[in-house]
Amino acid sequence: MMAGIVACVVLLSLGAACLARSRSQHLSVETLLVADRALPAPMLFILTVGEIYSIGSIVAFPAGLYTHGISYGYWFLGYLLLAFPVGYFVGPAIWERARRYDACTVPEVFGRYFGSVVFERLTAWGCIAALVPWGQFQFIGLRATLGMMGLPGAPAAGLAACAVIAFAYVALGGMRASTYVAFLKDSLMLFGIAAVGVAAICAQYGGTGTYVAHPVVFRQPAVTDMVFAVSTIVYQGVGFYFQPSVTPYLFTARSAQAVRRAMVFMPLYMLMYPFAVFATYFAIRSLPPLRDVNGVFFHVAGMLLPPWVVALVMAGAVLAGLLVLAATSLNIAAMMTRSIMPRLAHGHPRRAINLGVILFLVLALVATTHAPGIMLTALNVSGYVGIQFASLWFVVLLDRPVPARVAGGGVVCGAVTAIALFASGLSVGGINPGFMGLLVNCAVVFCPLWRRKRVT
Amino acid sequence: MNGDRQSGRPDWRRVALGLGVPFVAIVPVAAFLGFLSWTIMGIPVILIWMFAWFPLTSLCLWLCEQRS
Repeated sequence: MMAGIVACVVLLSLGAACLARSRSQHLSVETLLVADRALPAPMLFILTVGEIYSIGSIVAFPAGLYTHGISYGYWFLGYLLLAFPVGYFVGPAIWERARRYDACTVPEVFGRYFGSVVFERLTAWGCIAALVPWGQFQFIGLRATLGMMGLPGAPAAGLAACAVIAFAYVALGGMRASTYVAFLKDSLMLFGIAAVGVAAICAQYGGTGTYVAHPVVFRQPAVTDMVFAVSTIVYQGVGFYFQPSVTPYLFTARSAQAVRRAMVFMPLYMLMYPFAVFATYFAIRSLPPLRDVNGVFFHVAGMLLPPWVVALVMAGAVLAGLLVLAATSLNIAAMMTRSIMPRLAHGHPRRAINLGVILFLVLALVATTHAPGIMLTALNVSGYVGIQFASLWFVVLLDRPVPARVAGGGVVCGAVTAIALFASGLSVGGINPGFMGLLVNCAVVFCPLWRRKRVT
Repeated sequence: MNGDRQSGRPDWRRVALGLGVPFVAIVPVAAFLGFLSWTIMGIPVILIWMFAWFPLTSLCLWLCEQRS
């Protein structure tokens, strides 16, 4: 029954993508990549929350809270919450620069600002390096969810089906289709998390007495845990909208005002997290220790709710993974065909983008099936690399006269510092390696300006 | 970046309200609360504080929007 309900929801999502296609008068490259820069604030809100709150909200957040305790919960909620006020102030400026340079991708903004095709190409490679693990992470989440649905027998076939569906979203309507599917996904995800949370609250405090209480609560943080959490909140919260995986959604807005208005209501979507916390608290207090912590949320759902509700929760998780996978593959394909190999796309840009999407999905599928261990490390590394592009955005938004080679050098120095600190395990008082990298990055980019100012 | 659109200068009161107030609540205040072992219904007080700031952050941004 569970697989049947999930299949019905996925079919419904394809129907939503078809509806998006039928409502588009034409399907140009701009429609595909930036929804013709025509999304009003409510649709931008739906698209952005649909892409931000990925499968990790259901799988990774409860699992991290269950395993690592308070510091993990604080970090996860803190960086997301800080990202929205930062986005309120920088988001409209990012949208305005994208419109000024008529850019559909992040590297196009950089290339046109610095006046260098080579720089555009290099930043495109950097963005793709940061995006590929993020796309693959969705495959891992999807595989875990399919496994929990009782379909572990043919994971490759299940993932291949997911790849086909993600491609269908892209081919049917690009970003606009993603917005329609996001509405369905958000409805299911909010319903699922709220249902599990309320059931956990009722079971925990309702005095049913059917569960054994353990004297275990959330793990208390050490000082180094909190230093890491605070530095990560500042690093990721400030850098969130500068990441190549998030910035392109801002380009779809109708106006700068639409970006600001969408940001005002973004924090309210986080009201689902208290329910996830209560579900995790129930798992810690009332259930025996779990072996598979990634399934903690689904485990609580399975214990407390009827199977059809659990199936809807699973469907929400599957749609979340598919949606982010589709948008990430579209983003990568756009950079491949517009910035790296523009000649190949000459004459048939839409066909080239679709081919790029297929190529990425196939490669990611193969990598996920054969080397999942390497991939998780790659995801960590991509987190340290992605936000380093913030220094380029600082230059663009503040309109500072920084040469392209200095700006590029800053990003490389920042990424190398972060990766070296991460790989060596060297701790600088518990501070996030990415934060250290961003400091080095900004020093390389902006110190020459300061020196020049002093000399003149 | 997104301040007083007539003069092109940032409106620092809006920045303080929309960014400064949530930043202080999320970073230094919450970090301090993280070391307290108090709980409400079993949930650590730092997480309850963060939950409270979901609507309060929206309120700060809404007030900013009204001022623009």
